[in-house]
Amino acid sequence: MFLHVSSVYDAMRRQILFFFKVLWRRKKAFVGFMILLIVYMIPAVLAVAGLIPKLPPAKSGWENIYAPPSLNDFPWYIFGTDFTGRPLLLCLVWGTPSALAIAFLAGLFTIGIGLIIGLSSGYIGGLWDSIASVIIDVALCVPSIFLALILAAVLPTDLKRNPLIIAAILSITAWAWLARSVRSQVLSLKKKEVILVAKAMGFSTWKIIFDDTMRFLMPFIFMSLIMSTVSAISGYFGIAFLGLFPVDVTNWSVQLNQAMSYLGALGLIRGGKAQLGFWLPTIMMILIQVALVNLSEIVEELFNPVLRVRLIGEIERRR
Amino acid sequence: MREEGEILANNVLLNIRRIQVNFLKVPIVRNIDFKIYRKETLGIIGESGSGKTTLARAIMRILPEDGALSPDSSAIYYGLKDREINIFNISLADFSRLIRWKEISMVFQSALSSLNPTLKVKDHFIETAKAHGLSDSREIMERAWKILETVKLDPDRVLRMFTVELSGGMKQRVVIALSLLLNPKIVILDEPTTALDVLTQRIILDLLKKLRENFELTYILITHDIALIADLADRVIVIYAGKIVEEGNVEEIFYNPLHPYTKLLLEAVPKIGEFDKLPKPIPGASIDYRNLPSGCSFHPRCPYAGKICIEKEPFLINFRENRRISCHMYTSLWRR
Amino acid sequence: MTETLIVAENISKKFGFRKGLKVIEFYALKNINLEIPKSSIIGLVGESGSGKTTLGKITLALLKPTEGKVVYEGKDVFRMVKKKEYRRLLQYIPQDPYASLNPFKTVKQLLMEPLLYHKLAGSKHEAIEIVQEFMTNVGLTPPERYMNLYSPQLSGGERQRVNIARALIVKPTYVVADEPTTMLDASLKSGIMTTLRELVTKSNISLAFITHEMSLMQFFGPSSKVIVMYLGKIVEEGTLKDLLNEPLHPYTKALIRAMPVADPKYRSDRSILLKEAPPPSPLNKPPGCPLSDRCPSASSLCSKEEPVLKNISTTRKVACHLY
Repeated sequence: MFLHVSSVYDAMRRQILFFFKVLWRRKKAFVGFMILLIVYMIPAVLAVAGLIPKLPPAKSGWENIYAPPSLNDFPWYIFGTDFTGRPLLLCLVWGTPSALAIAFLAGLFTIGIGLIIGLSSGYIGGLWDSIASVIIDVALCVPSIFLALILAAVLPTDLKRNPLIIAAILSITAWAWLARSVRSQVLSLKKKEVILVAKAMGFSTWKIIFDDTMRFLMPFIFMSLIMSTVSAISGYFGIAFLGLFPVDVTNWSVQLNQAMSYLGALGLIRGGKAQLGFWLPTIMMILIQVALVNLSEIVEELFNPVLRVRLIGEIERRR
Repeated sequence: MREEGEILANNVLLNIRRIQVNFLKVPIVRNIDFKIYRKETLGIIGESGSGKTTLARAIMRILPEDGALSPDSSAIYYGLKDREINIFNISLADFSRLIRWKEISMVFQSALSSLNPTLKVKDHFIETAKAHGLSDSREIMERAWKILETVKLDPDRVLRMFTVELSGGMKQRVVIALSLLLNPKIVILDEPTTALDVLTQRIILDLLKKLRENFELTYILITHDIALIADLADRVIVIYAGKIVEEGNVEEIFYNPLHPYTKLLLEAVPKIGEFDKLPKPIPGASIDYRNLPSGCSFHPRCPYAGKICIEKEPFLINFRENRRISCHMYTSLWRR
Repeated sequence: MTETLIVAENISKKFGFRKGLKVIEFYALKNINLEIPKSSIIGLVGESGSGKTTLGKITLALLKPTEGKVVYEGKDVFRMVKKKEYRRLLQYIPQDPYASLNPFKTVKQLLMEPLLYHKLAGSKHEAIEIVQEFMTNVGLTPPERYMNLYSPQLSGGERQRVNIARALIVKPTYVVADEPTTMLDASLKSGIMTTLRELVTKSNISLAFITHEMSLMQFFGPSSKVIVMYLGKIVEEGTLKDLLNEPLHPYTKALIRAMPVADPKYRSDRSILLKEAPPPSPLNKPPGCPLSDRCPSASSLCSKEEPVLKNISTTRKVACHLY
């Protein structure tokens, strides 16, 4: 087992260097990565490190709610204030850490559970496969949105504050599709001569599953990770919009919700004070998904050695 | 064995000059000329990656997108009744209409990958015929029937089968039958017996010989297997790194090989019963087109290489009619 | 009398596959007995459908026989390989160089993994030295050039060399090479065969060489034992010299006559010795002797009764009614 750890570390180091080389050459992914970094990750890190001013107390009064942009206390008021009179930008930035954390956690849960069940049932087969397939089928049939909503509505608020629980709720049935997909891929990989030779080498079943077989699935796994994260983001904000999660002004969905009720049905068209309060959170929610999807374009190249080799060849030739 | 007299100089069927094919600016086939005479079998031998398959595809004008045929290349075909025609100069549509499959057809390497697993055998015949201008289904089926019988397959059974249900030998026969559908004069055989069992290879070889006689075919045989050349070819061209290194008739090549590569090729094959003279592997690594050696591309692997071989590329000299050699050893410049 | 390393007793193997709603079963091997002596090379020669690959895999405990057992130095092989110290003694060199190497691993990883897994090297440094030594032995020189390449970057011949290195680096006692040169160019075959023979004889490994080309057995010398198989039965056994000079079974005769000869002198008289018949397949074996529908010397007895493998001399066996 420890053999894998040290070789994984080596591989990771090489991967990260390679990652940046690839990024530089694929503009779309590069843009996606930059957006992710500048708009989301850096602010999140700053917020968690406490390098950002804390939220000021709420202010009331017509002139303070959705006040127009001003240059006060730069840069926090450049988008004006929100429905509580607090600087809009600051609120949104404070929301980044939890958004990112929950999204990635949900993605990881989905992939984690999906992989364990999919890999084991596909490779080991037999009774475990039959049991696991039933579990997967049930999870696939349950309407996930309803289940998530019900859980969100029913669970006590204290539990719900925990981002792990939120992530768990979001991923409660999402893993099933991945498990099914991984299982069928493993079933056909099992027959490959590569695996027969690995067995002849005497490698243990664990090693064959998690080292030899899984390597073939890496591009797929990473792509799924990004896609699960994206759908977790939508799920999170959807449920938060309905008010089923304990959230505060820093949550982008809450901002969106309030702006919409302030504007009313025609407010967007006719114009009104809460324009920025509507558009900013919306853009924040959508932009992270777009950035992640664009980033996912290079996943295949990062993990598939054939494409990778071709890319290295191109890089060498340019030099 | 064909008599020397039968192959007359004015019996040329296809005259290929200055073929040059580049893939993404890397030259793969480098300036090749040769002639093909009526009713002969020309064997082209070279290792994988020597450019021989690319050459065949260039002649059939089915190069992949990144393959570029140089505009200087010409391939004059003399098989049409009324005129001679440069098959590279005419439009692709005209080529399909006049030449491809009707005058020159091809049996592709590895029948496995050239047959569509989702189609039945009869669909293959129909599609091939339609793609080349023959649309009467009944006529197509009649021809297909006749040809399948000629290749010793039961048409009634085989036409209805999916290609995946056929054995390796049967697939090869189907591909051969397809190539003969429109009665071509020249058939290009690209590794026709690879991946077949030894007995099946012999059956297919015998079949090819019989077809050659019955239909008065001209074969261009492309292979890496020198035993196949010995069995089927009348004349031989040896290709290395995209260039012709030696040309001669089959006895000259086997009993009096000139080029070091030809000699090594002959020594690399087992000879039955000679246990003390085991085949010797050819030293060195195979060709990397992007980093071709200076001078003669074969010099790193050549046991006879001299100083001039590293500096200058040898010319292809015409000794005698249809006997060429490209090696410094045979020129006056040679010094050890 | 050399000692025996592996004995395969009364091996039969049945396969089944689904066609529509039916399940079609057939025997790939029937009542096969095989003895593999220590430090020797034997050839399993036959065409597709003969069962040679199946037999090879069964002797390696990579495939379970439907009947019969395989014994290694007195121990039942299937139970033995459950322990990894024994598993590594039986190794496999696969046929398809394009489908047998994990494309996500470098050559260095592919060769170091088995060493470190079986603790055959004291340290990582020592492992790298051993890997370099094997790469040189197998012809991948200089090793530095190939270490960090992935298998898709290698040619077919280079990949097979990696396969050979990988099988031998764990110091096995028995190796089955399954048609290792079939997918390679004719000019590369001799290189791989020479390498394989040298490495195997140097380390006293027993090698079962599976092929459909009898001519390749020449690399192993005239006294190497050759076993000729047809549709799941052994039809003839003998030394290569005997088989080439005096083949007994009609199938052996046909195989030898069909061997490709790189000499134009021999081209005219080599038409196949067997009769026309539908291609042989284990799914529709004729009754009696499996060759009865194609054999030029077949008699009515041949279609009724299956011939038994008989000893003609101490080194020769044939299964044919003619003898």
